[in-house]
Amino acid sequence: MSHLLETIKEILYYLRQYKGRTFMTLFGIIWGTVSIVVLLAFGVGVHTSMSKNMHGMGESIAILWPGRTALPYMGFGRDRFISFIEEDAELLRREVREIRRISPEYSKWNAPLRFGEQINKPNVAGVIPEYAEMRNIQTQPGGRWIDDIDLKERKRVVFLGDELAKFLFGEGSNPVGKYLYVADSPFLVIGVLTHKTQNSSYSSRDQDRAFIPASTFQSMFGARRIENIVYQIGNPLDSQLAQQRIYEVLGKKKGFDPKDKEALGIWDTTEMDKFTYYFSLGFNIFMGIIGVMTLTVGGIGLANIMYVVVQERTAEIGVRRSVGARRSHIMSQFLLESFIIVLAGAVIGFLLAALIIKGIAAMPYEEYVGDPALNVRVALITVLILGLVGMVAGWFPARKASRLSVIECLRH
Amino acid sequence: MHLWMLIREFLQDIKKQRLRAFLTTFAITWGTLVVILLMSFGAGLSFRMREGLLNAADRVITVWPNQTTIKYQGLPIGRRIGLTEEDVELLQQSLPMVSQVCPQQGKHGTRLRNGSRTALTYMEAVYPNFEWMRRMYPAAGGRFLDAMDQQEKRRVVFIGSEIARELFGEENPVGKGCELDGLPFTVVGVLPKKMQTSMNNGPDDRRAVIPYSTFQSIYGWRYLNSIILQPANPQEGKLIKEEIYRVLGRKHRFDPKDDKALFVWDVAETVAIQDKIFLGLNIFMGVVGSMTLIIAGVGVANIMYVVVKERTREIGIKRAVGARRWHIMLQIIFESLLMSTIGGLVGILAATGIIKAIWLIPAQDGAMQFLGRPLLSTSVMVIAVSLLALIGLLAGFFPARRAAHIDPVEALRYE
Repeated sequence: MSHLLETIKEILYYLRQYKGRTFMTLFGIIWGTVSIVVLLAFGVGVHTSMSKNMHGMGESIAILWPGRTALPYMGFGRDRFISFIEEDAELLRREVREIRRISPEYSKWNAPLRFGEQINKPNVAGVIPEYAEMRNIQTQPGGRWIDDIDLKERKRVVFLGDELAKFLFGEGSNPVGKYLYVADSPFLVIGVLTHKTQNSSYSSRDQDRAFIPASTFQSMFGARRIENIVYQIGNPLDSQLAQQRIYEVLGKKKGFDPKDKEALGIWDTTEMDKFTYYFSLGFNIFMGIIGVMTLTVGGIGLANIMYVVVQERTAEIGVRRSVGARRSHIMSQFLLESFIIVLAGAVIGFLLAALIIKGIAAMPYEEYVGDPALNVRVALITVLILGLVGMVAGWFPARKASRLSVIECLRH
Repeated sequence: MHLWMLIREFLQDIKKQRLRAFLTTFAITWGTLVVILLMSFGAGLSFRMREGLLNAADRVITVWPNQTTIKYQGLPIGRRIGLTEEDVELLQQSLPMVSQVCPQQGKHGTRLRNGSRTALTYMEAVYPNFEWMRRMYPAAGGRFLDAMDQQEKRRVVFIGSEIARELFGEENPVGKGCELDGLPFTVVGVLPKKMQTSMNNGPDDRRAVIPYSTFQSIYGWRYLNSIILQPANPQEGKLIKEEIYRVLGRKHRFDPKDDKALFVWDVAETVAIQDKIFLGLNIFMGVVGSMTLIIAGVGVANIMYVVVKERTREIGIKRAVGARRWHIMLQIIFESLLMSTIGGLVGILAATGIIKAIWLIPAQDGAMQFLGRPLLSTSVMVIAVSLLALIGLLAGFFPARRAAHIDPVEALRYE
């Protein structure tokens, strides 16, 4: 232990003697660390913002529309229109094991919503309670989403998108508990959507829509046919399997060929997920590679200087060896020296990087590139790479020093 | 003569310190590689994103009808606005700063059939000028819809590449017939595969386009899906937007300040925002890359200081026999410049090779389309080369100055 302290003292003495050199070597490691951390954090930020945008509509969901048959089947001709009713969603829930959640969706564009003098004709949807969990609908504090009793008793309650609520009730007022008219019937507002980023949609974005219980929709508008079915699968990898099962189950019920792709329209968002995944993976790998390359330049500078140091101290090494120092002592001394430089550089680099990340996060570009984030994984990867670079950069000069012949050294 | 001596001396020094010279040069090579790769990837990504947007809509303004939210002339709010072909003409006549106007009418779930092969898609009905506004350039051997098609209400259709493959396989569809919702049409052109980052009603690769007049005579729908306009000068987007509200507001009787009555999207605005983001990204990439090169330069300077120290005696002797200060300086600067030149050259060659190799990777779909297409532009090269020259000079200058200021007497005494 005292030996180690002695060595460290010695190293620090040397480093102080060559201040300029130490500083320049340190600079390489510091900047290398900064760029790795910042680049990786940037990659994480891009990934988070992309998937946040994607999942505005919901995670691993698919939307199912009725289509029109293209193949004759069981004596039926082609070009037959398929239609969905509410029970089809329940049928799919029972029959397709891959589906975790499912909801029918009624939809209407011509029912005006009126509060006082403000009138708007948004998309009005009739859904069941499960819908909110799939479609990432969160309620603002003080309100609630449609529940089972609403559905059972066909209550006249409505849940509003945030933009729609703002338009009808004005900014800053709380619509929950107030009554408004949906197609001239009084409805109680039970909740308002928490604002969310959503970059893909069908029948307009959730912020502009109004949701009522499916049963209420049916009894008010006398609708039998639903617009579409939304479902969520447990494991995104099962999406193909689930689609195949859906064709089989509905084909049997509606009488169309399960191979007839046009009988149903499916928008599977897991395919977009895949694009996002690969895009951000590629981006991150690229960022990582560049970071590693930058740090490598710093490492090369370190190795280069360590070689010079070994050369300069050849005589000293000779003296040490002749008074009994082992090869391993010499080696550990030089290894320790490069590690101290790497450690100091890493610590300063991390601090700088954290500052830069804070700075970038404060800039108003969040919507597009996301906020760079310094997470545990980024830190771990950086430490790993730093350790590796420090090891390689220190190892070779140290080995050279330890292998010098004592006699040659003394003659130097 | 003098230069030749410098080079010889340099080569001798390098031979003595092979590993050191190699490592120093290698760091420069590596740094150059990083700078060029980073900047070309940034340039490639932003170029592709821009193209993706412009491919979907070449600086056009799209107008969708919506509903009123301000009471006007005694009319209530919540009224739906319907746009018709007359509005297209009206806009064409009253907005001199708009070069093209085109109606967009469409029908979901249109079935195309060729024998037993079918395809279900969104069919669009437009004017012939749609070709330039939405970059619907036909593949060789075909054409887009033209004025005669529109005038004579011909049953002709222009199809996207995916639809073409589904209906006709590997055959050339141009000139062949197909059924559209049961009516016979002739294919006049095919859209080659197109990359787009923005779309409505599906990608253009899955689209069937027919003349607006033909659509009218078959379906007779009165209200349009939207109207697209192309400004003569994309900078005038704001003014044109205001004019659109004014002109259409007077005809449909809504308040020109009622911005919810219409939904207007100016692609040029989106392009401008996107360009700004990517400018930021490219600056970021450039800074990171340059810093890498600077680290390598600091490495060179570090080594040059060592060199100066090692050669203190030599410098003393040179000065003693009559070498001037600038002789000494020149030698050191020359050495550092030579290292950065060689390192930089190798780096540029390697980067070019890598970029060429990346282009060879096929990128049909998905993320590779954006990430796998780096662009090595002249400006990237100029930046890299000037950075290298600057670094070589600076990394030589400071050690050289120290060398030049060594006192010859002290130097000769130096061990």
